Amino acid sequence: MTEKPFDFTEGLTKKELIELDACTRCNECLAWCPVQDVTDDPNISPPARIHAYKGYIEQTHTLKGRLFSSKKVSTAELKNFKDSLWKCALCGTCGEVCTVGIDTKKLWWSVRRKIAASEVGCPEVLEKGPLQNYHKLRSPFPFELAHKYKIWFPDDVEMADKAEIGYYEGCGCAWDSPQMAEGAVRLLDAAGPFTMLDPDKSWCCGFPQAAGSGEWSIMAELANHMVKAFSDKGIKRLAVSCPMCLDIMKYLWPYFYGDELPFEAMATVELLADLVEEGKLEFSKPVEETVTYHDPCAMARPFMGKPILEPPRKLLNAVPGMRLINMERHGKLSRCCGGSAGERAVNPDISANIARKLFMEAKQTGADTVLTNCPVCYLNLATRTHTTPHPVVEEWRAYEDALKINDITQYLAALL
Amino acid sequence: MAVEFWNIPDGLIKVFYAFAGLTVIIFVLGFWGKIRIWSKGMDADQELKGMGPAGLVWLSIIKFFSSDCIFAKRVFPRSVIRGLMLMGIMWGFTILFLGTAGRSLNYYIVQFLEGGIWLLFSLILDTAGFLLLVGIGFGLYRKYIGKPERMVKNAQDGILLGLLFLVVISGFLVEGIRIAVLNPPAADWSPVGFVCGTMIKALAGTEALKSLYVVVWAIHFLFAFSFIAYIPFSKYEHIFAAQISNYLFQEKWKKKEIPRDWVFQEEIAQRRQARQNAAHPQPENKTT
Repeated sequence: MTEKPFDFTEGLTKKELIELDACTRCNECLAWCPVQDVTDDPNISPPARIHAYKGYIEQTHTLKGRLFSSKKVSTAELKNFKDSLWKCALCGTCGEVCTVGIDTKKLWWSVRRKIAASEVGCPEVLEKGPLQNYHKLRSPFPFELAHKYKIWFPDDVEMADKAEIGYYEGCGCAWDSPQMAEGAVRLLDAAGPFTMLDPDKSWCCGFPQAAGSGEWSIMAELANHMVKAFSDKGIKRLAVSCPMCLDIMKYLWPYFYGDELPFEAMATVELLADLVEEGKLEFSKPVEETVTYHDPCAMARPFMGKPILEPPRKLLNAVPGMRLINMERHGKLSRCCGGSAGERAVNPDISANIARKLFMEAKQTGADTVLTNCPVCYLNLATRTHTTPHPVVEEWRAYEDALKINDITQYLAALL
Repeated sequence: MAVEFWNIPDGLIKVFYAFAGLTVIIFVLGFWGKIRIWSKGMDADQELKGMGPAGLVWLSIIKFFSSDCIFAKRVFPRSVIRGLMLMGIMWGFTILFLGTAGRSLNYYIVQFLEGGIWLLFSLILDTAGFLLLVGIGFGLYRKYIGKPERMVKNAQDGILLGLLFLVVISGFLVEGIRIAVLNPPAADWSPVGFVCGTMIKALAGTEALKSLYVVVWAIHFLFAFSFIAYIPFSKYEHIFAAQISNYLFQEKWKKKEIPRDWVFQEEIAQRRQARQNAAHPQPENKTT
């Protein structure tokens, strides 16, 4: 009996299959793609990936393919495709500028899921790292959840057992960029009671597995656990510091939960801007400083709902004396930091080079500080202060004092 | 009035019909193959829910007339040259396609291309051909002269533009030779054809032109049929697919519904049921 060929269409939506045929190779996305900016290699660009994947489908599903091609896509070909696919940081800029409206961010997620399920799997570094850790610990990091709040939760902040306002820090904030989580809880605390999950119940949101590793099979269990845990705390509005956690909560959680979420998930900055408007939060310390704000990809180009562009700016404008200037590329077309969706782990060089481009653009504004609101952007921008020897990082050292890097909530918490 | 198959031998007309039939068969088979793949997809998006091949074809045709498509609204903000290229090719090709359909209607079913209507018809089609040529010109410029810094290279892109260019040029030559030989009244209502005709008239005598006409006419229909047959197998399939992708992208920000009928449906349904059972436990059946 012959082996059934891998079905490249199975599990893809009608929309995604149509999108594969919609690409006109107009090359617009190549001018905006952060990976193209640092590799200059059109063979790993969005149109090239679409063309390749479409070819696999045609090879196995059309009369032309059956007559003129081999029935099976070769392993070498699939490996090349996998390399290209995981060189993308899933920032979604290609979709934003696409002249035929291909929602590439969702498309790449689905295609990653397919390739991860094929004979070539996902990159080993993700398989053996975040994915294995998740199966053991329900976290992409190799640390016990019980210690998740220990290094950053301030002693002088009180967390309620139950409250209408909830806070989810996300693994990236808790372990990689704890200053973000600390800043967020200080601001929430100043505005009123808030609650959080018990640390051992605060599982990963699923982003590193679903987006990074292409592993979606964990999502139903995860979404059910997390939604129940938040509901048990009586939460009505959930502030989420990590925009990627928020993105997956809005996009995949309701689907895998099988219903609308019983609470409103929103970015921490959105909730804080509401609290400022409601008069529950104010910044009393004036600041004589010029700042620029980097819109993280997941907030500028989210899967579902509107981009979150105004709330962080509203918050910054509420600080007396502060001057906010935008980078050349901001809002929906903001630059990628190069750190998301496994890019940092799988392609550290590409990731560092992309971050350098963002850093340089921020520096060009002449601002004293660049603020962001994503643990990965924060970490990837701050890489220049890391000790790992890296040619790009070494080059950055020259600018160490030229531009400070901070998270918006950490920054604002110091102004209470 | 319209003159069909002027100066074309009967045998060649039969070949023309054979090729036309073959082209339709190849186009339909190719396009059907595509639509069949599209409709294999999962129903996660409400807008396409339950749509089979026919529904998808209709949706794409309806959305072709959306302002997004007919004014190239997503293209112009990115590149004026590309916007002009698209408008020229899309409008030129669409009008010529509808015009050809109109001439067939006139020839086979009801004669209406006479007098002033015929003159206006000639002017519109001639202008459409010119628009198409301008669009191709912008396309060739962008591909070979003012090209973007980074491009995905694919031989197909050049072949498509070249083929379309040859279709239009041979079409104008056919028209020009006919005008040169017949010298019909009001030929200046086809301005491009008229200019071509004037130039051609100076080059050769009537008999030579009549022989040349047959050759150029045959080349024109071969190029045109090749182009049409190639559409579903080339990137020009975006004529249909891009209308749907563009429409769904506009709806993206409005989306509130949860995607449905997608992956892992069984597990999701089981967990949902278990949750509902836990929230509303059924009273146990008491047995006596």
